[in-house]
Amino acid sequence: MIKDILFKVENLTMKFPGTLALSDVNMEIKKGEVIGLVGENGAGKSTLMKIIMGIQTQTSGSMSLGGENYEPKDPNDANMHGVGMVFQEQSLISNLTVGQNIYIGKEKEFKQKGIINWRKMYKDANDALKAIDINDIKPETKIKDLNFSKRQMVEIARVFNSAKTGKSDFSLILLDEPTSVLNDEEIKQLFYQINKIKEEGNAVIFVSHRLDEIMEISDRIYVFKDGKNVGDLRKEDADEAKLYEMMVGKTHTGEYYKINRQTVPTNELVLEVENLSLKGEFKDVSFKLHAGEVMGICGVIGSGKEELCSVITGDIKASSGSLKVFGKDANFNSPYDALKSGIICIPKERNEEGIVSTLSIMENINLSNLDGVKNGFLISRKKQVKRSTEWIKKLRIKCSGYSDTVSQLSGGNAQKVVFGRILSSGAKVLILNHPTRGVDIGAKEEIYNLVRDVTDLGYSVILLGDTLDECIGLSSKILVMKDGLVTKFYDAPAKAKPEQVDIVRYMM
Amino acid sequence: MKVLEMNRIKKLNISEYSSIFAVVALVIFFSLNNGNFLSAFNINSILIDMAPLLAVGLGVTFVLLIGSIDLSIGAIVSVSAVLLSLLITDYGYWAYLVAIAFGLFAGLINGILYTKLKIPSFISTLGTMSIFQSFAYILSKGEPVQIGVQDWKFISFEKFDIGIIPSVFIVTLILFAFMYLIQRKTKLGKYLYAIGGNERSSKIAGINVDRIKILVFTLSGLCCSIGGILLAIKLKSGVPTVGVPITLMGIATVVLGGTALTGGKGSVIRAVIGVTLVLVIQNGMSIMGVDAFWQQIIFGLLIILAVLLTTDRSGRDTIIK
Repeated sequence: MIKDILFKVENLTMKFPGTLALSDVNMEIKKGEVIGLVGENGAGKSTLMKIIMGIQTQTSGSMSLGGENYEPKDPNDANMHGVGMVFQEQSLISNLTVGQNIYIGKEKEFKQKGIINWRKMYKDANDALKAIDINDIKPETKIKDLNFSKRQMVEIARVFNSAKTGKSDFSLILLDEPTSVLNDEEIKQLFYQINKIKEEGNAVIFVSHRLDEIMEISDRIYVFKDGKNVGDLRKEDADEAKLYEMMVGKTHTGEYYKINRQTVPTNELVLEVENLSLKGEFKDVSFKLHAGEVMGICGVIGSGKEELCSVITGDIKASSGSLKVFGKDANFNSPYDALKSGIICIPKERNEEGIVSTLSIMENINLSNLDGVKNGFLISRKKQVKRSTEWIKKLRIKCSGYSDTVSQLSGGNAQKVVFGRILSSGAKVLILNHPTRGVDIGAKEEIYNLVRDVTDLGYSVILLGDTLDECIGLSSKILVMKDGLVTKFYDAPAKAKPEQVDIVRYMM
Repeated sequence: MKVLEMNRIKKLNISEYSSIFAVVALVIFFSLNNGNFLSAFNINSILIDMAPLLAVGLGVTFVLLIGSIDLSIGAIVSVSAVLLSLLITDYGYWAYLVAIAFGLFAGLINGILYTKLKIPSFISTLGTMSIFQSFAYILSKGEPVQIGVQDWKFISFEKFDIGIIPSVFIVTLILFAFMYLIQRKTKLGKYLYAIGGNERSSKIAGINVDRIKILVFTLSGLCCSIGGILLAIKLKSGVPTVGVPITLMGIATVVLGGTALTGGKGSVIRAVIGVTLVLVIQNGMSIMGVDAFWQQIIFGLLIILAVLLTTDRSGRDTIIK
């Protein structure tokens, strides 16, 4: 029996500063088996894939392939062992041709006297495409001239080909959300190919948010939650409801999110969004936000929730629809306009969009409202110091003083600096895009408290939570999005929070 | 991580003091070599030379602080010098206003091209450099425009010195005070560092980045037109090529002073240090009788050294944006 196992993961653990991305994961994959992998965003699926591909190295635990210890140094090394992956974000180089992409990093095979034999490369590339029944893509075409689904097929051809040419007898293919850009016909074709390589004794790990797909193609399904492998179901035993429940879990988290402090929103209308659309991203989104309200937006990546936030904060211009702030029509060209109307955001990417790491804590905190620290025309250093020391104290930012540069701070403390900045900006509508991302547990709790504090003061919050749990726990109202459309509204008063299982159903 | 941080701090400190040390060391070196170096006459002439270059350098500092570059500075200097000389006969003091207005206008155009058309400043100002420089040739018909003796009354203020400080240098000092105040005490000053440090964060934080960039380029144009006026007064003529060497000199002296080409680090005070350093070296070498071509070689080496000391070359920052 042991012989039948192609790939094995034992006690795999991956620690990142502040978080445990994977904890004690065990897996066994047999030859000729298709494994489905499901879990919420952040459950650890991508981390596991990256470790299998040698992009990251585990903190502890081991993997074995074909009975031998498997420690890939990098993706190329993984390919050599017969392991290949189709990435969620496409990894093809757009200004090179299809053939060049299929054999990227392997040009040596085509070298004759120091010169690459392009004709042979293109001939082989053509064979590689034919091998998975693609006949309508020429290997000489540049990637940028192909549409996304064709690119995806090229990517799949590349991975199948590189895994096949590895030195081991059987390959392991990882597919991370391979169907998101494919149409039904292409998905059918992909599934046919998966079944074909499975017949040959190879194994496949298939990650998707679409449970119907997972259940169609997989022989067995692993469920991940919070970095743990919480279940392993045979296809026959799985149904959607069961999977949802396992993915979401049933923990009671009321205390953690300070639900007892949740404010009952007032009737004062703050933000009115009507039929807001952004071409290709989301369509006809309407909602009302009141003072003291926390509105959570739930949806998977690609649901349009991120883009909706970008439009409300003025970073992207809407293609149609209207936005009213405090009863006044608003048409934002930039976050500067949004701030003037009273809207500001905590961006998702803290280092790239949230802080200016070369500046001090003081300068960061004051950046969004320098008018408030002026004496007449000139900026007063005294007022700047006063305001920043106040926030350092109030938010308990750990530092040696207000003149520390933000680059010296930990993630949680840097995030508190961003909070200090937006709370002193004068804006009353706060868009919090993953406010607890990369922040340790202690700082997380302080941020939850802070959200309660500001809503007590009449601020309104739009929240994109780091987890579904967080989104439900903090919000007093929840908007669920799927494929750019609002699929459901939930009221989420402290006493009657909606069930995660139900929300997930509208997300997927 | 900590070690990296330490290295960065160390690197900054070296550059912070190295240029000041260099100025002091060079002054001692040259004065020991030649007694005339510290004479009132020589100091006066160094300051006269410094005035236009420093005026330009103040504007360049702001441009570099936001992480951009302005290659049209020399061309704006040329046009302003020519305009002043051309118009002073007929319009007297109004000629100053026209020259300054041109500087502001040229800077505004640079800013608008850069922000609204989203062309990198290196390219957009490379284009306007060529256009403005041609203005200078067309206006002057390719020849120096003399300021006639009858019009010297309009530029007579250059005769008045306060002690050994020439009045043209005082003009630059006033401009310096103005720019220093902006840098230290206004929103614009704070935004310079924020945009240079992280443009994306600055935008999300609600800063009107485009407006700030346009303002900065307009101020750069203003500084250049003042530099051009001071050069015209010094030479008593508007030479259409007078700004050509200023383009590189203006940027190089600021970088030599320790303002980073990558943005976010620097100060107008450093522009003063950089300009002083270069002119002390130039003047000192001339007094010692060093060949002019060798002076250029030494100058070139100094620029490379200065960038070596000030830039974080880990690869994350690109020098030209």
